[in-house]
Amino acid sequence: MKLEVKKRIGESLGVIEFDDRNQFNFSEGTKNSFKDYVSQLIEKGIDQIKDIYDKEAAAFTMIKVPIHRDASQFPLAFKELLEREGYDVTIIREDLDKEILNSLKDFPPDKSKDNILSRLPKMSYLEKTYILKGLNDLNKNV
Amino acid sequence: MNSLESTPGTRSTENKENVIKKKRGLRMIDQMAISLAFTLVTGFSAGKIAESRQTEAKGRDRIASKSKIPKPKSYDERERLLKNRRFETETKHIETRDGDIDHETLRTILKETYPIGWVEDEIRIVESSPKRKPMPAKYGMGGVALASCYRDIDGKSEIVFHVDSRDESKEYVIGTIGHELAHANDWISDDHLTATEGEELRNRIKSRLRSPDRFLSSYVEEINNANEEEELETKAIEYWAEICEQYFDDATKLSVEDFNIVDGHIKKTDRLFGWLGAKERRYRLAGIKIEPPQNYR
Repeated sequence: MKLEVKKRIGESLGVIEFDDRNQFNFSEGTKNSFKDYVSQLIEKGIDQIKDIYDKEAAAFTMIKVPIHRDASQFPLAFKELLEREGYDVTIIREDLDKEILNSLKDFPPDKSKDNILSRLPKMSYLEKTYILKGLNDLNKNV
Repeated sequence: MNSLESTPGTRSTENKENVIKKKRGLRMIDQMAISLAFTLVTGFSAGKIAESRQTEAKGRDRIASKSKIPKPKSYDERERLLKNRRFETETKHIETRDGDIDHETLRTILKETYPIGWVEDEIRIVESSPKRKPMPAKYGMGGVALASCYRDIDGKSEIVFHVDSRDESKEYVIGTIGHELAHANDWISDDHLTATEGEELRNRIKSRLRSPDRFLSSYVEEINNANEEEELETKAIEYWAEICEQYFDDATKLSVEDFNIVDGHIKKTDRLFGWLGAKERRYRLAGIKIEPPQNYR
């Protein structure tokens, strides 16, 4: 899983990539102070928030529990921790970009196609999923 | 083979038509995406994205049937209504590691920065407790209880921040309020939903749980239960709360399917709600600094 982390004003601090065994790497350009911060957090151990429903009490209770470094949800829990700390974190879903590019291959050259291609790198997840849905619907009907 | 399909001239005409259809379709997607970008900048959506007009019309009928909920016709009127309406949800001050959110500020946040119909009809009180809440041993979990949302017999909810939440950030408190409001406005608790509408919402959420573009939540992803039905229901309830929390914080990080579900539900009672303006005001009121994040040096 790849996470792009920004300050709220939008300045990128870098990209953290977790592999299947939750080992992490930083992309080139990630700020050193941010690398240190992330490394310290992970070394110290992180917590995950769970929301447990108690039928008898008819209550949801949010609890904070430590999450094991090897847990499959560790990268997501780390993302959520950064968000609680005030960072703007985005999951980079490269597969989605690939799907859009793949769908666009079947379309003839056109101004709209160029527009979409040029905007794609900066599109939000909402925009990308919207475009992909539109392309899939269109491909089904034509 | 159909004789028409075997005629080269016809095939070429069909190809041309397809090219035209594709170009037209792509132009429409591009234009809609640009208008979507406007939605994301302003936080106002003019309606559900990429859903049928028929569904929208049904939504309008439902709004019209809710005589209890005021329906402002303009943004100015909505602003006046938010400030001047009766608001009976009680609030107490909440302590965080970044400072307190006093009860009046919390009241304003609840009254003016969440959708009409989401707080006043569903939440009795938002408060903090000086006590530590132990988790029942049957859940087999250690950890620290931060906040609870209790459902009353009369259908209203009570949100309580326990003493250990004082070590958390204001962002946590604001995010949790969004999450718990979602529980108070789900298919089980929302007074504004008919049984059919509630069932429809539940099924739409359930259909999202295995979708590749679903919202990823560390907790929802790991929920498991020997009883498959119960697992699905618990996941759906939490998924709904997670996507609502995300919508209130940054709707651009939702997939279009999840956005439409939450936005459509909100627009039933508050057609003019804009998530971005509401979020900015909420953060300003809560005194959440825009930058830099607290622990980054």
